[in-house]
Amino acid sequence: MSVDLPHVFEASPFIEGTQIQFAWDSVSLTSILSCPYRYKLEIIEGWQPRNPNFAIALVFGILYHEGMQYYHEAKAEGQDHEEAIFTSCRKLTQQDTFWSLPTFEEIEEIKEETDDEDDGITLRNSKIRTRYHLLRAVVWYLDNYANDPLETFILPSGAAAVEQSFRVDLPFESGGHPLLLSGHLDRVVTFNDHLYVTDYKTTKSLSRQFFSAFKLSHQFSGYIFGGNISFDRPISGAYIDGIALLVGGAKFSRAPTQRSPGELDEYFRTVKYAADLARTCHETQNYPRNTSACYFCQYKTICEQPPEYRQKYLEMWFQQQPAWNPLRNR
Amino acid sequence: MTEAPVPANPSDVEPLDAYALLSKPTLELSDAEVKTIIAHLRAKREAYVTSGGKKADKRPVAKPAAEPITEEKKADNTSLLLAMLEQQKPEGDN
Repeated sequence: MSVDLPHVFEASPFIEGTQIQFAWDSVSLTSILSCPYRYKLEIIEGWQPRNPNFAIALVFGILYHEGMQYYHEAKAEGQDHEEAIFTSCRKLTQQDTFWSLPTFEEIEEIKEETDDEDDGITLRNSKIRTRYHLLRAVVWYLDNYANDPLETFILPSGAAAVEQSFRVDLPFESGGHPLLLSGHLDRVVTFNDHLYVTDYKTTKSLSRQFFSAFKLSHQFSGYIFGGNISFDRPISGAYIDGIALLVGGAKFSRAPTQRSPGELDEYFRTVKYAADLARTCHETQNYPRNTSACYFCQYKTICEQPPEYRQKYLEMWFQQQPAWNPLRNR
Repeated sequence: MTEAPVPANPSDVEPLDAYALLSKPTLELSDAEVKTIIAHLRAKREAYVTSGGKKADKRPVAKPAAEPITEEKKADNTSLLLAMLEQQKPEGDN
């Protein structure tokens, strides 16, 4: 049964008066399963890096999704491919955030400022996320899939099933409190009379390794489960819609992923475990560090400091933003 | 203040290409400019796809003009080369 929350701009995912999360999504799930201490900093307290790379990557990703949304909505309204591409580019270039992406000139400045002691991350991340790269990725993708076999599902309202949020009851509780699963589907499509969820993923290389990593992804398990509840037809699976961002071009490829009933059951037990773990951490006020998961963690430099200094380094290298909220309207 | 010369004919103004349009400091593009960018991107895609990804779409960077090689420079280079060869001669050679 899907849950319609009241039209509150932003309901809290925590039980009132506590930091015990009851509404879960793949971001918060991945966070606590990686490391409870990371979960505390990222999801409960909302610490995000001050590094501008982080903002550029986030803005680029949001704009790319918006470009796709504008196109599919325009097609659902009756525009043809050419008109819809123009509509998408027109709307993107009317966003203030589009103009906050770097220009080629700014990339040249970054190159000149990058010396031998620099780790080069700012340059590597920025040079494939300029204004030009965004529009190129959008136009090339849409032309590549001009005759897309995955057709956008049209809702009973006549709207395209793009950027669809869902919130569904989970079939179990934690500490006597019901649990919700929320998510956001990039696009729902039909293929051979079956419904699928598609999700855009940008990467540097569309390798077999890239696609195979999503077989165990909680995100796609959640999409398939949530989609099954939210639509009147079962979801047969999901497609990873890969976009390789390169300095001199872009490439595209897709791969399917599915979940058996046994795999979905295993996913439910994982969500229950995560919810119970978050509850225990809150009740004991102990969020232990999983030091075997530090390699890709953005908080590694914080954990490397003595505990009595961590707050100071957090305030220096990170900033508190409104914490990630699975229930935020998008 | 010196004013920029007004072109006699609007068509004398060189239209900006996609790279220049997307480097604009202003936050607006006209419909024609958006269409220019789309057409440019499509031309680049055509070249990229037909070359199997070998023809990369990179903004041309103006290289400084090479300095012409003068007779004086040639003579200098020749002297330098002879001096280097002289230094490398084993002892006892004439």
